[in-house]
Amino acid sequence: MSTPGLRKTGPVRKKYWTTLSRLANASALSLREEQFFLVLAVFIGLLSGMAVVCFRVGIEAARLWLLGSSLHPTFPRVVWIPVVGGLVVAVLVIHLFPRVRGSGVNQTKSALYIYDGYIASDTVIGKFICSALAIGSGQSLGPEDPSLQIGAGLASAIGRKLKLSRERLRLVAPVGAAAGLAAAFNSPITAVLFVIEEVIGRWSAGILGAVVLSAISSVVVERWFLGDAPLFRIPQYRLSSPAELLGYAALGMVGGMASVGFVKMVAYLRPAAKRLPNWTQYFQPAIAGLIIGLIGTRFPQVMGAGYDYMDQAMHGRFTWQLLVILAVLKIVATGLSFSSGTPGGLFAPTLFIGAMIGGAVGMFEQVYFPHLAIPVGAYALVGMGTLFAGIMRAPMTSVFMILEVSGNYSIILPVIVSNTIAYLISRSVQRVPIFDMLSRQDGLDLPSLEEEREMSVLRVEDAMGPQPPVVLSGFETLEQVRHDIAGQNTQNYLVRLASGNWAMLSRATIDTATADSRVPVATLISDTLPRIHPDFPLDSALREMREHPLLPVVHRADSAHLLGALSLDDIVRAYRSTGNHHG
Amino acid sequence: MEQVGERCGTCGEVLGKAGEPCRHCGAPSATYHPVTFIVFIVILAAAFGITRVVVTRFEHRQQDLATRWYDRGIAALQQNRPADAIIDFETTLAYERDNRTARLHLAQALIAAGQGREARVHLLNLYDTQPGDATVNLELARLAAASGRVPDAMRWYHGAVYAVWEDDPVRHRADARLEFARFLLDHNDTTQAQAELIAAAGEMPPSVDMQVSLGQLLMRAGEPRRAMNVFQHVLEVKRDDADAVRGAAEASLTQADYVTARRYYAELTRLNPKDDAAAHNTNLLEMVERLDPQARRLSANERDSRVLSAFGIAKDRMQACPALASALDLQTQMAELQRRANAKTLRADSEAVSAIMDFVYRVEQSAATSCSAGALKDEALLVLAQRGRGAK
Repeated sequence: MSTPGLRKTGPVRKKYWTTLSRLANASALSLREEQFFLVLAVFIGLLSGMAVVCFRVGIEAARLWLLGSSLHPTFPRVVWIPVVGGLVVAVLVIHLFPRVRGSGVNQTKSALYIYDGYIASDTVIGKFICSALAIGSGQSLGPEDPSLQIGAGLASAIGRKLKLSRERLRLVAPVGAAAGLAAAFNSPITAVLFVIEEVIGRWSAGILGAVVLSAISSVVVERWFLGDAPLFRIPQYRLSSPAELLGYAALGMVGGMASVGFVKMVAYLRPAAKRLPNWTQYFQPAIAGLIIGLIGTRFPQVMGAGYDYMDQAMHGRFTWQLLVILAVLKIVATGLSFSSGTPGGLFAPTLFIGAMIGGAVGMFEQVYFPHLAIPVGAYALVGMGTLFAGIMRAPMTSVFMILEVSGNYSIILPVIVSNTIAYLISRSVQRVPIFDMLSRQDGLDLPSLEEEREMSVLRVEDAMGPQPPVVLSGFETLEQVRHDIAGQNTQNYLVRLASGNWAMLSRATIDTATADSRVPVATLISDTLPRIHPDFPLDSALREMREHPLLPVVHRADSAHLLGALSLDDIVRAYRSTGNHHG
Repeated sequence: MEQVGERCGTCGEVLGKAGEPCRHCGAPSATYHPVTFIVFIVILAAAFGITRVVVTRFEHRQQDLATRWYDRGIAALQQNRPADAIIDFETTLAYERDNRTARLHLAQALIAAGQGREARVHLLNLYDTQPGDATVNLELARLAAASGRVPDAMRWYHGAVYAVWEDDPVRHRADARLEFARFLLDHNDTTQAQAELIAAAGEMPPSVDMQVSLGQLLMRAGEPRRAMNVFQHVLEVKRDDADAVRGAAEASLTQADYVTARRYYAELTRLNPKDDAAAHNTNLLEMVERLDPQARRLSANERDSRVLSAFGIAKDRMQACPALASALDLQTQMAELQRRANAKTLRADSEAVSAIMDFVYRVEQSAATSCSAGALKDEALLVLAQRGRGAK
């Protein structure tokens, strides 16, 4: 690989760079790509963190400029600003940045699975500008998903510049995505889990290390600039009685149904908006903005991301009736904003809806079941995780997100109960998760990571055949073996060697051997077989099949104890019988 | 978890030493030189500088907005517009979330707007982060008291008294103690109120108003002597403080020091000639002094004369009140005492004095509850009757 930064210059400069290059070449700091990837992950994390800091500042600056400093913008500003903002964003998206539509999560997945890690640089710029304008003008969207895409885009650009291998270039986008999301949420664990769960879909030591490093680097720099105050002021909570879990179960049911309602609304509105004539795309964000602005004249809490109001909901600032109204209006507003093609994310609206629903359920129970001593703030907090589990269908992320945000381990039981119920309800009623649904609406066949998670993992024990009738010891003579295998159809024979290893002799080798027929057949063996065990994943065993058509399946505690044998036919038969394939 | 070793990016086989091409496909091994890291550092430094400028300007703007909305909120509070103040302080907190003062004012605005429940949430949040904040404790105590949560109120009041007051701690702590004592007296916890008031007396700032309040509360707590000390101390500093004079008069009266009480009521009348109650009390106490058979330095003749005079007043009272006129026991007792009610008997029989005065007091007390208002003399005898039962 050529040294980056070396370019054609005059004689003196060329001599200088040549000297420097020689020194660099001799330096012990030269790294292989895999090692360099980890260093790069830190760099991407730091850079993405700063980009997201600027993005968050940009959103706030846009809001101040467009809507003013009051939390209750005056009429008619609260109505015409989202309209004008929508128009401007539509023009920018249609003419300059067509790839910035959507939240950013599917776009990052597309980069990983379809475009070999490629995210155009103008996408980063466009996402930054358009999302900041959209959210700042009051559209009901969040900054986290765009932050994810900004981080992924930066990482992709850096990876291309450094001429990473194809494999690494594909993986560098999720590394940046984790960095972007971690900075947006101020939560590295949540970001790592979400990227692993929803973008990459697999756990691998190499990629996990890079993702973690980038997320941590990003959060470090984000906290450096914006402080380490959490997004919300979390009220103190302690589970005082197991009976409280029943209340959280009720929250899970309500949250699950609300999740389904939201996803179904997007499922209906988004394709409906796309079916309209093309010229309407200039006005769809503006119409969404108009409706949101009209809602905002009475309920300004619905506009923008709404973090301040989530905080207030957690501290009992609203009546339960108002909380219900805000939840419903936010579902409508977000559905409109997102379906109109306005760039922006779903994370913050999901948390908002969850906080409102959680607070409403908590306050309702507080009124009608006062003896339960319901902590409303805890319900709002758990509600956020509940809706996240029901809408995003990232169960692990939803649990750890609440733990990380609250820093309170005693909330884990209510979170698990509520999230699980919401997840199960959402799964049973809305079979396709929202991100898969969106990608299919866009005509992209991205892998469904939820389906992949739930696919059963085939193991050797599911495919292996019984012990072969003939197992050689290696001490038999060639003559004896030829006699023993005469009349059999088997083509390959396992040999249990004295050392405890295993080998294989093919029938052809036995038949065509020109050695003395009194010599032990062990002399014909050139190498040993890898040992596999019943619990091995079948695809691991398949890798070993390249050079060995038959493998011994042995006991873990006694490698000489043969449990069965595995052939390529066995493997193919096993995969066919389970029907594990993408339809 | 899947283990990934160092593999060739082209064919996927395991690589050898760093820098060597792949042994399987011959693809060159990618290596990265130190100059790459220098470029990283330069880019990071530039990005850091840009971000620093952006964030610094942003923070200044946020601070300006927070200050502007805070000032608006203070003005709204002072103009008694709690609804506007709530919006202003909430906006302040949107730009400066850790502004404790703004959050406290928001809580106060919410209380003023009748939204105690929401105020309590903010106050508890402040308490969680700084339990030693006396102002927060006091506001929580007031909320608890208004909601009837007596144990909570007592706990917060204790907190307010013993926590940290940043501004003028002596005055604020004394104020808190007085408010706490008032709360205790309202809930009939006289003993603890006395303890708080005695403690307050020991560290009261030199404020006339506060001293007068202290004296008044001591009176309510059944400590007229201590109250008298406080009022007299105030009057040494400010002779014409009407509240202190009134308090001293009441304290003297409660301790049956009628001479001193009359003097103070007379002073009160002088300070405020329109104070009819003070004038009446002055006249009343003059009558008490004239009728009191236990007054100091009385001769035996004068004492007997007063006893006989009191007996005559009581008889007139009985005759004027139908309820008493029909009371057989009183009539019987009166008839019996009539025989003894003369100067000669009184001089010889000291028990007759007690018997007659007990009868007089009994008549007046019965008449006070059963009959119409009596004359000034009757009222004076009633005062003397209550002397036997301690402070009013």
